[in-house]
Amino acid sequence: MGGIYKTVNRLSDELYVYAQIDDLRRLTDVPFDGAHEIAMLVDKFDQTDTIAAALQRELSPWKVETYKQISPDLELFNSQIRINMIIMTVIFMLALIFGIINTMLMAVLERMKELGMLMAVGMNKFKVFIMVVLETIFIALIGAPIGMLLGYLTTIYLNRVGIDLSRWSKALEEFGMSDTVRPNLNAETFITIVVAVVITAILASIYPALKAIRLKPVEALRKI
Amino acid sequence: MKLFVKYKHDYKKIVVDVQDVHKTYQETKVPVKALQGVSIQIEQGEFTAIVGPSGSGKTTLLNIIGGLDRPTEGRIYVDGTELSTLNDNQLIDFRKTHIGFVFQSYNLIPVLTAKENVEFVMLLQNVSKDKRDARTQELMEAVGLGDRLHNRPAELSGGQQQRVAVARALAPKPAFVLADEPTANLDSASTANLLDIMARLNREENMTFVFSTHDQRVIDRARRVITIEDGKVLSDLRR
Repeated sequence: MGGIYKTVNRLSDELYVYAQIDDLRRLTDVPFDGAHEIAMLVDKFDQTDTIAAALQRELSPWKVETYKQISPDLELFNSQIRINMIIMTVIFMLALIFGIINTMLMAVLERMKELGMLMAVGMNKFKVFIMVVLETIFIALIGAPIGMLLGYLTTIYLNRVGIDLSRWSKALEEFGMSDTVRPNLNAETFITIVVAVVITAILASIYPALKAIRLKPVEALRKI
Repeated sequence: MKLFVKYKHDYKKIVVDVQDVHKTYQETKVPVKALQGVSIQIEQGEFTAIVGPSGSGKTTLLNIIGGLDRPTEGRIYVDGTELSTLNDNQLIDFRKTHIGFVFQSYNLIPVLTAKENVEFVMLLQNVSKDKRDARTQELMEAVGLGDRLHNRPAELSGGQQQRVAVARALAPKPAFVLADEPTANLDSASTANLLDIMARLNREENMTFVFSTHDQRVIDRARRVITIEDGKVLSDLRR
């Protein structure tokens, strides 16, 4: 025995033994130019099933298995993270929608008199509607770059420093995870979210804009 | 309808013709009869005050003349057009080109300068920049604020703001100007000044003014006083 190793993953520490390949071949009768298992890495994560199926057709009677079959817990873990992401995104978008509706509703209700005056002197409903929607778009266009920059800087900072989860390191070891998490920003996600935010903002402005055009100038003018 | 009447040996155009107008509000369980058969005609160049205690129906009448509210019964012709034939959007366009509004609390847009406030309605009418600039300058000088073009409402006194509002009302060259209690928030010096300006515009430009007011200073200056009480015309005096 050469030594005992320890990684952050207790599970693998308990499972694996490292040995010289020649020693193993001698013990297992595998020929010197042979192997009993080949691992393949694919570029695109979601293509594993198709590639595995194609390989299976070519390589029969050898058995081809995807990571999902070999280690179903990994797949579960993955889909859970994905579902968590979706739930979080929905919550944030809902918060955003209510935030914008609240802001724009205030902007409309605060200016009832002004809007009443505009309609009295001849601004038609279409223009009033567009005005409220445009205001929201401007707010979103001012807010989005600021948010993008803050998000970007936060991610870069956390990536450099790492989120320290050492308090739970014992538990994380069980799952084979490191006790420092380093978030990464993926350009595609980043842009998708920014576009989604702007679209959400525009959709959220429709209700306040409808509220604005339903005002009757006579009543709106009388408000203080 | 008659568009012209013989008056003081002179044919005058009828700007506003209100024919037996009733307005009933159904807001609560008991219907409120705000107007009960009002008929008045206002000719071009008149300087008319509509007076009456609060609750008399004068604001309702003013709103109906201004195309801001519709009557339950009766007809209103403004500049020859019967208002009930217009749908909501047509009515907004009609107000834009035919009626100038001056409100009790000025209602200028706070983020725009005096010049931009006056220009605003002309912008809605797609008037070219040169014409807008010339008209704005002319009007601001007419109301004595030729040097305050680039001030925002907050930098102007109440009287000055109301003069900007008068300039704004006149900008689209309306058939008449409707002013709802224009002096209610003004001190006596500003009131006198505003009335001087409106009387001059009335005399020199033949602009028709209709006020609602209970301000004696305004009533004293009016050349015609229509008194409304309980939704009916109580008296109609020309002087």
